Amino acid sequence: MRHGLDRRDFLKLGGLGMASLAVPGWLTRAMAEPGADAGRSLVVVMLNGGNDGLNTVIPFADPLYAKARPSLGVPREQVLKLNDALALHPSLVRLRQLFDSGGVSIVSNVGYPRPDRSHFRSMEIWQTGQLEGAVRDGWLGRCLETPDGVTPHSVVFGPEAPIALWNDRGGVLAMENPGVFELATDQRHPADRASVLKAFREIYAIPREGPAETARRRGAEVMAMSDRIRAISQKPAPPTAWPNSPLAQQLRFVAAALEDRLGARVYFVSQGGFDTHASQRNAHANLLTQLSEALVAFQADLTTRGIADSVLTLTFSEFGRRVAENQSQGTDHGAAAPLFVMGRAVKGGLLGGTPDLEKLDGGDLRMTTDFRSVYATVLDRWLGIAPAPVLGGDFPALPFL
Amino acid sequence: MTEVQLLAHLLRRAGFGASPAELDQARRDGFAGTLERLLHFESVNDPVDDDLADVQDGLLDMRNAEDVRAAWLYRMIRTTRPLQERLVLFWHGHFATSVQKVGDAGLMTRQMALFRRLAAGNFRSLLLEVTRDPAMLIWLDGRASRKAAPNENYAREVMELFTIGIGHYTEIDVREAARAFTGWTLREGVPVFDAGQHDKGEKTILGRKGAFGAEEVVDLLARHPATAQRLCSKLFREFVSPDPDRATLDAMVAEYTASGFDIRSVLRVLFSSPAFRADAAQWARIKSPVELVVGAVRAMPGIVPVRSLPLHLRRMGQDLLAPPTVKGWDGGTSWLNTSTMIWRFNCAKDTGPGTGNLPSPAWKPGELVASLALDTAEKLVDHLLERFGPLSVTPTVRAKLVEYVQAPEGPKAAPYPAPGSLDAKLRGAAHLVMSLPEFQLA
Repeated sequence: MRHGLDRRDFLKLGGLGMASLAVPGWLTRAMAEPGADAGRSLVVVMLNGGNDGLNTVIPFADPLYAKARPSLGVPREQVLKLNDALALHPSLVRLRQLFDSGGVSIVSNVGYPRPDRSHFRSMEIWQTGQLEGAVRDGWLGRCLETPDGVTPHSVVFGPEAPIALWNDRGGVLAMENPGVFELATDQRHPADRASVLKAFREIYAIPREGPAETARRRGAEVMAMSDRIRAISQKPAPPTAWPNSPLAQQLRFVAAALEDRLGARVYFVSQGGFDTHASQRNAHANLLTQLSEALVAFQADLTTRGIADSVLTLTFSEFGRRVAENQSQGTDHGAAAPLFVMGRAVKGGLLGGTPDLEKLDGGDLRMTTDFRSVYATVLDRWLGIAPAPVLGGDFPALPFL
Repeated sequence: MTEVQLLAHLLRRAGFGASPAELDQARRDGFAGTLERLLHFESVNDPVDDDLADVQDGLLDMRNAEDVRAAWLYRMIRTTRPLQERLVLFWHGHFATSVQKVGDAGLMTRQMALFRRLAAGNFRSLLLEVTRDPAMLIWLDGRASRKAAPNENYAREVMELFTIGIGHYTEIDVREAARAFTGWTLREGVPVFDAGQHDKGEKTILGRKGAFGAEEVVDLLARHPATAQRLCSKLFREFVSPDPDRATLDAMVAEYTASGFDIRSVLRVLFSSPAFRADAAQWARIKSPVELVVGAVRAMPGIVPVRSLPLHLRRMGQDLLAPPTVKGWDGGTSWLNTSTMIWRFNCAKDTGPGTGNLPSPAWKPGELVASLALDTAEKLVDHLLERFGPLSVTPTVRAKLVEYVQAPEGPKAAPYPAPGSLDAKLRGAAHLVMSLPEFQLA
């Protein structure tokens, strides 16, 4: 009941009707033939801590910006102008080049009604796609299935699955480091490792009965997956220049896994450190440099590997930050913020308008685009999944796809 | 099941598995005697409190959730009252509260102490105390509930997850119960009843009318037949197998009602039932990460690396004091996925003899092998299978383990039981035994 048919059922129920206007031809084809979207993957980049959106996509022309940010404001002559009102932070110079070539959509003022300033709660809201109720599953986990019980539907870097990927059915592969996603043996006895592994594999190849057989199969699958993951991480990569940041290293593996057709539909990577309450200037500039360089290297690598058509990358953070800087040359938790959508399929440009620094909500930016509209667009036009059942309602799609 | 198998089965289910000494004790007491000792844990002297008091003094910071976890694991490993601690874990999963929202590790310790005090006590009393528990008042927003704006979070979950379950209540019941729970709030971490914030009006809940407060709602819920069914079936799945059988369930439900909601009486019926002794019940459950780790450590002599255990558990999907949702952990086969499975294996390496990579003065492989006369690969393998279960494996599986022990560590190394081979082969064989599919089961 839960298997296989869900996605097609969703398509029949809601997807076709909802996407009737403005749907590009290839998408109509994809929706008409269930499975045509199966080769597409989504890469989610989580910016942990609450990225300062106002210093990411900067309303440089608004005098209120410089006023609110006397020490943290980016001087007008340094910003990377996108139009007469908005500019990127100078650290995003590489991303700006990609934007100019049309592969990036910037959606401004994304948020949700009655914003919550708790990291924990706001992350829950962003990752469940639900404004209230108990946390049971995530917006992606809710609609993803492992195709065969072994292939993960999602791959995540970290000790555990983020809420966005939760469901009752499993299928998430969480790993801290693909290079060591393997059976560990005693470091004091490296010469014995081969014997331990040999015995392990042979023992896990002997069929059992009942629950022991369930455990044996899972173990054997893990060993197979571990071999695969390690092989992917050790494969010679195309000569793309990759920075050394943790985010870049995660994305580097994702690119290799995508080319190797590992089979996951979602790859979930993250960058931490955005909770910049104090001495923000250099810290935030460095974070943005890392983000920009990692994203651009990833996109270049996908192009070199010839798979850029089938990958969409989406960034998000749990909230933006307060418009006015605080007394510690930092910023406190805020509300609406911009996000990036990147990919060859993306219709580049600016969406969501310019932040209104005059009409604030308790010192925070008001949202103009509900984050669930972003999700709805990705689900409907990229993953081929009808958004309404996943998000519990209809949210207008955005024209970035 | 043989008598020994049955006792080991009981100690795995009503505890975290037994050391050889505990199994010997159980043999002397017999099944009935062992069961009563497990059930009446209050009468067993438990030095773990003194041990922990020593350890906490300077070594553990109980304001820190990671240290609270380590202390709890230490307790599970060292306690002489294993069923009590198993029940604390059960109630933690049932009334699943997370320190991530509560934000105060001290309040989590306090909630665990409540579960410990009423572990096998009266369910109605437990439910009432949980309703007023500080961590719960934060977790499900009871403290924010006001007469003019009752918060429905606790009212909903107490029905959906803690007692009667979906299908036995309506949205109106939730709203009315939320009114009844108003008044209980927190002041400086202490639960207080603020009569001015309590809605004294008449409510209709589950078909009954009255000016109900928290006590009356708790009473209605504890008495409800659906609560007996759900709770007994959950206890069956926790302690026996994933498929409750009708006869045992009926007997448990009858005892729940007859005893006035006494958990100890219900557990006695459960552990004494034919279903519990049935061969099919043996190895029918997937070990939770906590059972896996605590069981492994209990089975081995030596020093306990408790500080490293919370991280292992998190990787295996059971972050103590931070269950994923108010539903708790799903358990069963959900413990075994691609991510968690590899950590089950890798954790086995670190919780086995000699406690992983930590230097352990208690680890003397030569003495162990000499004292137990484990002078052949076969004897070593049989000893480990016995110690970690007793596990029964097919002759082919045993042969593979023996073959491993016999294989020299390297081209120039002498084979087992040469003194230079002992450290590698004891650790390696224990790692393999603890990684067996059979060891994943309880």
